[in-house]
Amino acid sequence: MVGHFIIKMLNFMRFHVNLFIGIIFLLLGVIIYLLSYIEASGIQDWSLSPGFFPRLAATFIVGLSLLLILITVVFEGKAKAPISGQIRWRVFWYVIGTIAIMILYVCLIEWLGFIIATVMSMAGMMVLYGFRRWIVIGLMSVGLPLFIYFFALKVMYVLFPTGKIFQ
Amino acid sequence: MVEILEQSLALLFSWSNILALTGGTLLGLTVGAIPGMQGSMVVAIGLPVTLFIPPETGILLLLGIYKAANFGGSIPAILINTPGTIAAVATTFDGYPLTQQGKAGKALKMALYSSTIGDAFSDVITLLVAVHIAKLALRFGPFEYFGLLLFTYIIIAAVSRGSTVKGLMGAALGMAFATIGTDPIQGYSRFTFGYSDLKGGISLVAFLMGLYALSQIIVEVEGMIASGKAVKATYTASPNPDDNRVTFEEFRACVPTIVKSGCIGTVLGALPGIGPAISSFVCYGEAKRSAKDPDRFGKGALEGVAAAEGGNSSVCGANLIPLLTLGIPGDMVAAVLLGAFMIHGMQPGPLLFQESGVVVYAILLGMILIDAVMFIFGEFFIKVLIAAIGVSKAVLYPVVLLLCVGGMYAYNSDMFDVQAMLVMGIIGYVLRRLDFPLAPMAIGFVLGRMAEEKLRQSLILARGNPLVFFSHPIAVGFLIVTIVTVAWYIRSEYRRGR
Repeated sequence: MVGHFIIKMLNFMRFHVNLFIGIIFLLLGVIIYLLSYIEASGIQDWSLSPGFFPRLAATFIVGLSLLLILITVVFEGKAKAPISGQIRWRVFWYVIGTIAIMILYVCLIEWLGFIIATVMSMAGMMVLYGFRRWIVIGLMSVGLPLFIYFFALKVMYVLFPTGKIFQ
Repeated sequence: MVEILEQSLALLFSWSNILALTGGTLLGLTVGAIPGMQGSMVVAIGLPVTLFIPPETGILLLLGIYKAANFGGSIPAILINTPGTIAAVATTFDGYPLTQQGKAGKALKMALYSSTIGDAFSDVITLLVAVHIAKLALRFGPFEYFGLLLFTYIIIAAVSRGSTVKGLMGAALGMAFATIGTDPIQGYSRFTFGYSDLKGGISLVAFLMGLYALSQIIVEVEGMIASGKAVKATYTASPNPDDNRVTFEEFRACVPTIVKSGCIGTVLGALPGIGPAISSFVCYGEAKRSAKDPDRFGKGALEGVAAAEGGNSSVCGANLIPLLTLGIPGDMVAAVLLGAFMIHGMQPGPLLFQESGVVVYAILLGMILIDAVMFIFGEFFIKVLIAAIGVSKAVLYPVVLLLCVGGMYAYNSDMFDVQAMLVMGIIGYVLRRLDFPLAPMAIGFVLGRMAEEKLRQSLILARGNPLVFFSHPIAVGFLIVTIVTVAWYIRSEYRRGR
């Protein structure tokens, strides 16, 4: 239900993408501008305050967003060509699945260690994408992380996380 | 002089030196081809090795890594739209579209040729006129740097695909991201929200890897599922042999671009702090500006690859100019090389050529030899890696993810960088889906911190008076070039509109 609503929204946005970008960036610019007074305060001297450059960037963002909205409404109002193909339900979930695996992978590295987390994530991704040659899956998802781990350790003197639960 | 050169050549052509520069080149190619692993990092790790070998051997080993990694970064940039190093971001603009057309071999070979020529050009210039360029570089203060950076920002308009307004919005957003962390002048924390990891800001590598590499994986997965070709080969080379090599006519057409990029890169490389990434953007923008048909850029123009690669490679040789002549290390690699000289009792600076001329010239001549070795092994690497991307997409993208995460962690041994890369990857994917140009955002971020620092340093020197900027001829020169570029751009937009 929620997924279908999101897809409908995404497909609607495809036709009004510049307007959407303009509004989002406008809000972002205003937020950065206001936050700079709280999160980037300091002393005002000849070199200007620490908040000067963030405010300069925010001003550019706001000004350019307004310009984009104006151009879109005045000149491109009637030409509502979509930016790309229609988003489909199945594709949408694969994208969500890929992002979820990436997030899980990064979270698991700290807990399970680089090798175990990588083996799980690589194998999971290959299976998710419909790859079923198990020997290749096994070789790639185990062999490559081991190679990277020892290459980094022996050549670059970098120790990848070994996992908090094993310490 | 001739006698010194003879002695230098005799010193250079020893087995140990040839072995060191060849080994360094091979290692550099491998490291550069892995997204996230920067050549500069391996150069730093290699420094202790130089303790146990003669200075010229050790420095040639480090230079081999540095130069080859610079080219190696273009390989994943072209094949999978994932820049191996920061300097290869501009290479993706036209390199990847060529791969999508089945012309990866052509793009990679052009990258190799322009890298080799640009680098060798810069080496020869370094060998011949290092002292004069160093004098020019010494005249660059904060005003001049800010003028140069302002000009580079304007180039953003030239490189952004589609809407100029969106391109400039992206640049401003990149600038805003660059302000996260400690203020470069007063040292106050900005936008850290009490989170100590953010005090150092977002790592440049994490920002670019996320924006380009991770978002590209998600986009490719989307395309792969939509087309139902998940387990099919990723890349199919065009059956036309001309699509897998650079023809003589194509090469000849690119020669002016390579030479121009070589000149720009050499001058920029001599300026401390201006790295290969900025040079590649400037050269790409200039190639697009001066092209008869600029609309081809971003869609697979061979000149685009030649400009980006010629521009970033020609920085490598020139980077040694301020180091050798003035003792000023321009970037991290130069700082490591300074260390390598010093641990052997040599002090880079005006007297270095008098005191250790034979060794220095052996190193400078060795840099040209590294280009030759890189050219030979580069051809081999290209063949191997084109075959490698022929594997199934379902296998390739998990491998790319592993290389990104592994490379990112190895860069700084910090999980925060990996997390930042992930966040930037998701932001990058959303922006790609909204057809938002990412390159200006990347440039905005790359230049943001330096632009702020130079602007504020200038204002301190000028006691808050911005008009002092106009009393610096080089800075005014950049301002004029910037205004001319803007005028040219408005004129070409107007003509296109008509």
